[in-house]
Amino acid sequence: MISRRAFVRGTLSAGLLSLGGCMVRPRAARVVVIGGGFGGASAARALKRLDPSLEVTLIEPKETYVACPFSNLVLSGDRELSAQTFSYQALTREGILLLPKRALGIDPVSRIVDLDGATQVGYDRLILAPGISLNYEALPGYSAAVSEQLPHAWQAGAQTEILRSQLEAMRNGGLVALSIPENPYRCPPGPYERASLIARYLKKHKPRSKILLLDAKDRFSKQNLFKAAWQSQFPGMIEWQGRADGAIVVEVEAEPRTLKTDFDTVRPDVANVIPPQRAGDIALTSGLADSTGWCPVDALSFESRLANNIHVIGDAAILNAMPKSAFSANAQAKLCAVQVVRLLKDLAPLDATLANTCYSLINPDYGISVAGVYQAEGSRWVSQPGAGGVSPNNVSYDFRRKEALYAKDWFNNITRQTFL
Amino acid sequence: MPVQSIAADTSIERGRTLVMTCGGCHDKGNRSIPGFESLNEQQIFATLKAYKLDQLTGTVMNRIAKGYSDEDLRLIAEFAND
Repeated sequence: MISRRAFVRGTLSAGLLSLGGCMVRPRAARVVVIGGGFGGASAARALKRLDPSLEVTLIEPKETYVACPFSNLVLSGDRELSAQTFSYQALTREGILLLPKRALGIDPVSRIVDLDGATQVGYDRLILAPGISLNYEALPGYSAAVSEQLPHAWQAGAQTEILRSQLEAMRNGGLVALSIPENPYRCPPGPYERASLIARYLKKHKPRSKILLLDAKDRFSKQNLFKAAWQSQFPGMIEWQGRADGAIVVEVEAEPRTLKTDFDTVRPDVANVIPPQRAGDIALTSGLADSTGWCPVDALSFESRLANNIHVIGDAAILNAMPKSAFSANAQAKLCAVQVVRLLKDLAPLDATLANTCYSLINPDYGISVAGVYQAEGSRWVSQPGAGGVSPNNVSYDFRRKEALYAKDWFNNITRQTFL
Repeated sequence: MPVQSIAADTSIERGRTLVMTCGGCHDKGNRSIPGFESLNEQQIFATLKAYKLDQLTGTVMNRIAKGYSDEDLRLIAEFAND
C-alpha cells in the first residue's frame, strides 16, 4: 500500500523542479503524466478536474499533436492534416504544467523522471501514456530512414503527408501495397479503413489502379463488413491476402520498392509498410514492458505489475480484450484519473465498466463500427458476454450514413475533450 | 464510518465514472449523436433499457447497453446530467 509512508517519502524527495519548501506543511500531491496523446492529455485534464488541488504535470516534447483517427481521410484528399493537429494551450490554461521535454528514464524507487537537458521531475504517482513505437528490428530492411520511401503513416504527421504525396504522384494503373502486421497493434481496423479510403481516391482519380493487402493475419476486424463494402463500392480494386495465402511480409527494400513474402516478391508503385509495434520507447527503457514489448498492468488501477506508483494506459498497456484505440485510451484515462485520486487518498480502486466504439469509414458517408463493453475480472479486462460486436451486415444505406455522421461527431467530441 | 455511507459514496463515484466513459461520444455540442441534456433521468433510463431489450433500434447503442446491468443503467441515468 502506498499511503502515508509513500506520501512522506514523496515529500522528502521533492525539490528538483518543485518548489520544495517547508516539510511540515502538507503539499499538493504531484501526478506526472508522460505522453500528450488521447490517453495522456485526457488523463491530465481528468485529474485536474477531479481534484484541482493536484499538481499535474504533462511531459510532452512535441508542440502539437497530430491525431491518427480520421487521418486516413487525408490520404483520400477529403481532409487537411491541419484539421488533425492540436496544441496543448487549453491544458496549460487549466493549470496543467506542460513540460516540453523528452522523458529519458524513470526511477520508480526515488520516483523521479529524467528529462532531456539534464533536468528531473519528481512524482507521487506517474501515469505513462507513451503510445506505440515502431519495431523496425522485427521487419528486415525496414528502418526510420527507409520509412521515408516506404511510409508507415501509423503515427500521423509528416508520414501521412509522404504517403499522400506518393499516392498523388502515382500513375493511373499503379499498384498500392499495404503490409499489415500480426496483432496486437494500434487501431486494429485501421489498415482496412485506409485501404477503403485510398480506393476512394484512386477510383476517382486513377481508376485503373489496384490495392494489394499483404496481411500477417487470417482474420481481421470487421472483415465481413469491409469485404462487402469493397465489393459494392470498389469492385475489383482491392485484393486481400492473409497468412494462409503466404502473405506475411518478411523483408522490405526501398530501391526499388519491394515487399518480400515467403513465396513472392511484390514491386508496388506505392508501399505502405505498417510494421510490428511495441510500447513507446520510455516504457521499454524504463523496464516497464515485458517480453511481448507491451506493459503489463493491474486491470482496475492500471498500475504497472513491474513498478509501484506507475500507471500505464492507452496503446502501450496490455489491457486484454480492450483494443488499442483512441476511444479506449480516453476511457482508460478518465478511469485511471479516478483511481489515482482514490489511491492518493488511500482508497481502494473503484470497480468500473469501460466501453469502446471504433468507427471506420469506407467513404465520408459510409461508416461501420465495432463496439465492446469491458469489465475487470481479476487481473484482466474481459468483454461482457452478449454485448458489443460489429454493425449488422444487411442494413440500409441510411444506417451506414448515420454511422459516418456519428464517427465525425465522435472525433469532434473526443478531440474537443482532450485538446480544446 | 458506517458501512452504508461508504457504499453510497462508492455508487456516486461509480455513477460519475460510468458517465465519464459515455462522454466519449455523448457530450453537448454534437451535431448528430444526442447529448444527455435534452432528457431527464427517467427518460435516459427508459431509453437505455429499451436499447438493452432491443425494444428500440439504434446503430451502436443496442450493442453497448447490453453490457451494463440495470443498476449501472440507473446510475448512468442519475448522473448523466450531474
